[in-house]
Amino acid sequence: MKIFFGTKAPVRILPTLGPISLWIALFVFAPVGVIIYFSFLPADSAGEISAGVSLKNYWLLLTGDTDYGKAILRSVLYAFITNMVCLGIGYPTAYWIARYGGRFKALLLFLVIAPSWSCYLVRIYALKQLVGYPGILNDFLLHLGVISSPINMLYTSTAVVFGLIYIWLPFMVLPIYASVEGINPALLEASLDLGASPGWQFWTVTLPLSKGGIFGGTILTFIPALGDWLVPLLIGGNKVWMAGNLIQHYFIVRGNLAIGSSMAVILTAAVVLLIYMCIKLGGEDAVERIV
Amino acid sequence: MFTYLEKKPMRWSLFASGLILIFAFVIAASPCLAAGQLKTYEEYVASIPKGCEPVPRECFEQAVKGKTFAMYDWAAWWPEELYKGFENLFGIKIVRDNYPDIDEALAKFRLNPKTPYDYWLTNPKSLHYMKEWNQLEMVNHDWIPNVNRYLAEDVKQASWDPGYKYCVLTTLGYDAYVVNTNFIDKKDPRMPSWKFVFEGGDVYKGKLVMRNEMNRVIGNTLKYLGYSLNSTDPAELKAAEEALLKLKPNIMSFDSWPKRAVMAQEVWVVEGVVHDYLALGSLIGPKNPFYPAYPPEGCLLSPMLVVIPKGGNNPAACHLFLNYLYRPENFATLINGVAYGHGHIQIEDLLTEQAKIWMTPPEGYRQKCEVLMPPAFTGEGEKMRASIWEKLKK
Repeated sequence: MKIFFGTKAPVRILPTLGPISLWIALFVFAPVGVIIYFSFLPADSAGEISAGVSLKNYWLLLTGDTDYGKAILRSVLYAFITNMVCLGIGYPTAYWIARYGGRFKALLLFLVIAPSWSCYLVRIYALKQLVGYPGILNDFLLHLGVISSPINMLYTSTAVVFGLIYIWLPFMVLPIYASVEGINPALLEASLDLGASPGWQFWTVTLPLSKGGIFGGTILTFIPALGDWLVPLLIGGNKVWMAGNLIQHYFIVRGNLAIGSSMAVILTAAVVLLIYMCIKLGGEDAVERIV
Repeated sequence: MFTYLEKKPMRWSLFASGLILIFAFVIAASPCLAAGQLKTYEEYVASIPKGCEPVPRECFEQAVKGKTFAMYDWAAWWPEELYKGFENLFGIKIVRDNYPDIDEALAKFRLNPKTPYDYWLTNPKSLHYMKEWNQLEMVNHDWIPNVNRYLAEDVKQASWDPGYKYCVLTTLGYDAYVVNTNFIDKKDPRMPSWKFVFEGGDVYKGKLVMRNEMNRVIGNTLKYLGYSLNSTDPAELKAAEEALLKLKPNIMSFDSWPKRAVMAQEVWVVEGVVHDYLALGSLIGPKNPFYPAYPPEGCLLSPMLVVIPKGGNNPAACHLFLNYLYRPENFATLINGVAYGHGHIQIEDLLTEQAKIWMTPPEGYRQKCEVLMPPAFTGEGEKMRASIWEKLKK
């Protein structure tokens, strides 16, 4: 401590750390702090908050009829499916671009990233135009005579998961691509020289060395999908709620800020835990891939 | 000489450019120049149209001195000329803020009781809560002579605020349903009853959109079952829950303003304020495909009320605006623009035929309708409704 403060380092660090720390303190920690504070305030069923500190809201979520547990489980399930499908599509895509993209790598990556440059809401509406009715896909299939009447592809649980995959897929491809691209080719050659088949090489060399990208991609897809509420609202027709929708319902419709805050704190805690697990499993590489 | 001749056209072009710039500035600034044309109270009194009355001097002077008027309302609904006309006449700048949802706006006031709006266009639920939280200014009746004169007597004593102490009614919406006649025969024997919505799934094949508002949807379900939409009877609410769960497979989505889906004719039946959809249907083509169904069981009546939050800086401007709005020609502009029901007694002759058709339910229909009242959105009533809504969204 003495040595640290004895040096001039803090004086040099402060001007660089100062603005970003202030920014994070003001716009990340302060709002989270307010939410945590609200979550411990006792409130009645009408949302009237009284003075004091209590665990009543958390107890109610565990034991009451708020349906929060089911909404969380449903969100975890949707986010898990989203993550797995994104991984299933994203890994081969990233692998192929990294290994066989050649001089088209930049173009192919651009094509993957480009949709994510547009507004999130615009992409949701684009998807609705694509698969809704009237919509490009339905019109095309009808024109070809593949279907005789339009298929209802929106406003179902499947549509919600499909929407989440559509929105978050690019965020799985990028970290995996960076991981695969960063593998030293000498290691791959060495494995072949030692007699590994291409499949075995992938299993024992490529996959372990790209796990940082996989867990980095998981952080970037699973976590936003877990807290998403716009996709269920717009693609799911607001018929099936995820945890985010229930939180919004408690904050806005029921005006119960205390219960809504407790729900938000639990969801945030789950997200922090997941990030921790991903970093633990994916190692430093996972953090590097998402920064 | 040569130099002079060469420079001369240059100077002329500069002069011409300057003139054009000044002209463009005058054109652009003309609304601002026009603003504030009423400099004194006497000028204002002299400008009052026949049949209208001015606000008292005190109100006028306070409002004008405040310079700005903070409004909180729906975006893109009322005709813009109402706001522009007010600004131009009084030189008071309107600072508008919009909400996507009245409940969200209410949550904003709950979090910050000092939210600085002078005017909030809201509903009876918010009126109730804002009164309970002591966050509303009382309406000064001496400052709104046109409202006193032209607001219908029965509306002045309306259940949501007898004596219009805290609010002034602007529009009345009928929250029933419309069907797209390009796909649905309006002669279906179940129409216009709620039976068509709740039992006609075989006809509309899942192309039904319900509002994404708990109290409205459950309220209209209670109406279908023949109960009051403000019921707090657990058995009646249980029946409503069962009816809604049975209906759920036929619901395409819960959406309070499914404009895109309506315009694309993706949806065939919409539960909501009928006037909005009739207006929207007119944009689809020369023949408006929407047919308004006013269920004989009744429906939810949705009044939009102006209240004055306590956090505002210029409540006098709100009174001045209300008095201006209730001038018959201005109120007719509003109703011709939105085609909603209203409580103004002097504008019938000023309404367009189109607006009259879109806004008018069958004779005597209003008596069958109900406004959401506190039993529905407070205490056990609210709790039971929330429980139904959460089950519906599983």
